[in-house]
Amino acid sequence: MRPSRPVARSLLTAGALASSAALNAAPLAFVTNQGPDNVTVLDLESGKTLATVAVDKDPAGVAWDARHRQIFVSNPSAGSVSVIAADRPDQAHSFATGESPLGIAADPTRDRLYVADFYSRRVDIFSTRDFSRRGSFKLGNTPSGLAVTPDGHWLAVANRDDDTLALIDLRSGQPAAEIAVGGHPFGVTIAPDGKTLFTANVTSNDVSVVDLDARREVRRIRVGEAPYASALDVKRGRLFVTNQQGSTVSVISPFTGETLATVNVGDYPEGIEYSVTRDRIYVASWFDNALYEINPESFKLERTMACGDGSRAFGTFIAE
Amino acid sequence: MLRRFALALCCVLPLAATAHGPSRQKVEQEITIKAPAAEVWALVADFCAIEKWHPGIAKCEGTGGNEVGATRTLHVGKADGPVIKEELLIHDPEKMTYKYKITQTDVKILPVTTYAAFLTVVDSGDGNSKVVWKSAFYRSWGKANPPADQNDEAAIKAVTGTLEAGLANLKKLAEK
Repeated sequence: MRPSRPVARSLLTAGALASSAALNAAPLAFVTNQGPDNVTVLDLESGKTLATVAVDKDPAGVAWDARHRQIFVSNPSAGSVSVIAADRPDQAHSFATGESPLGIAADPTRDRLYVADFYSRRVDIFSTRDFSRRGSFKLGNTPSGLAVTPDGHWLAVANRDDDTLALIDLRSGQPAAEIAVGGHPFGVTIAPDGKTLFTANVTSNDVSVVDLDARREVRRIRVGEAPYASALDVKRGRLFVTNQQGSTVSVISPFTGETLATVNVGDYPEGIEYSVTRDRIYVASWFDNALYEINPESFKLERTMACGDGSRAFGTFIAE
Repeated sequence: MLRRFALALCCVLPLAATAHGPSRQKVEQEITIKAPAAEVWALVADFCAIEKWHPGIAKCEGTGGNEVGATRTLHVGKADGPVIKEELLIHDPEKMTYKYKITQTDVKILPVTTYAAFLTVVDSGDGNSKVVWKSAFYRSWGKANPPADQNDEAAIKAVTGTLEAGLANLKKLAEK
């Protein structure tokens, strides 16, 4: 059974906060915990929990807004998004969205946040300065994961139940393409050059590699059972994919289609991201309530950091 | 007309089976049994043995034994009761664990979708054992605003009851 919601209070230690804010060097991970409705803030150098901050019901998605050094968290059962400042990770405040916000991404070039509304075939747009609503884009069925190209030109959204990837031109605000991918695409990852995109396809057990210029799927790579999301090791050009039903992470070469390794992790791995600063992969396990650190060279699981019940971290959860 | 219906059915059913909301739920139950792990595993190891140890299952019809992909059709309550169909995903006698998923349910008795679970026997080392039943699922209602009998709470309650009843009876049988 899910534990009841704890009294909203900061578990932050003043010393830890002061050193993290002052040095400002260590990357932080913000892991959403669905059970206790909070976020575990981890210092990825020390592996220590800096804070546990209360948000709204069933937090799931996360987006790092590097422009304003803040983290956004989607709360699909509350119809809200919570904001946490990276330098004050002991407090959060929230604002209302549509009824079912899930996938969430901050625009790297504009003061905009994009929030996929799972039941409403819509991505809502919010200001990352005053959090006011600034319109919305029409999408297909159950818009899920989303990502923005580094140049801010394109917003890519997985329409899970349509088996497609929608591309929206953020300069014109118009839909540009709908690209067929594998079965039930969920997590979306874009390579730093903004030209290659990966969707994790839950029901076809594979990853679609999409050429954004050609606007088509160029390769389909088999991974484990019920893939959820992916992270690109930008140093080595390898893709790490969480397999929810396999309790594993697949390591693949997205450009040759080769499988390099399968790493055992906890049950129901969900969010996954690569930290450039740490040169490590981080994976959240929803059933086992932890964040794992994987060495991208040896593929060894090097560290386990305890989080709250039902850790998800779906999105860009590392602040660096 | 018939053909159109058949076409609609073929394309709607698989979607209905996998479309679900944004928040997966979990229920984990365990029980300590005063019997060696090997003896407890012998009671549960066969996929279709659930008809013998779970008090809610009147009858099990299996295909494929304990191979991956084996199926079991469970009749709940009585031999012609509501049906739940399941498929074996992992069966590992060495680790005394198996994993299965539900492929068809009756929302009146188990309002879930995309359900999968592990059943594991753990050797406690002192001639006793522990049985752990870990399940993950979504509520059956795949849209917003679920009715009370198909919301997250209803799904969690139904699964919790199913797991608790099975483990309690398994303990009784094993400690006889």
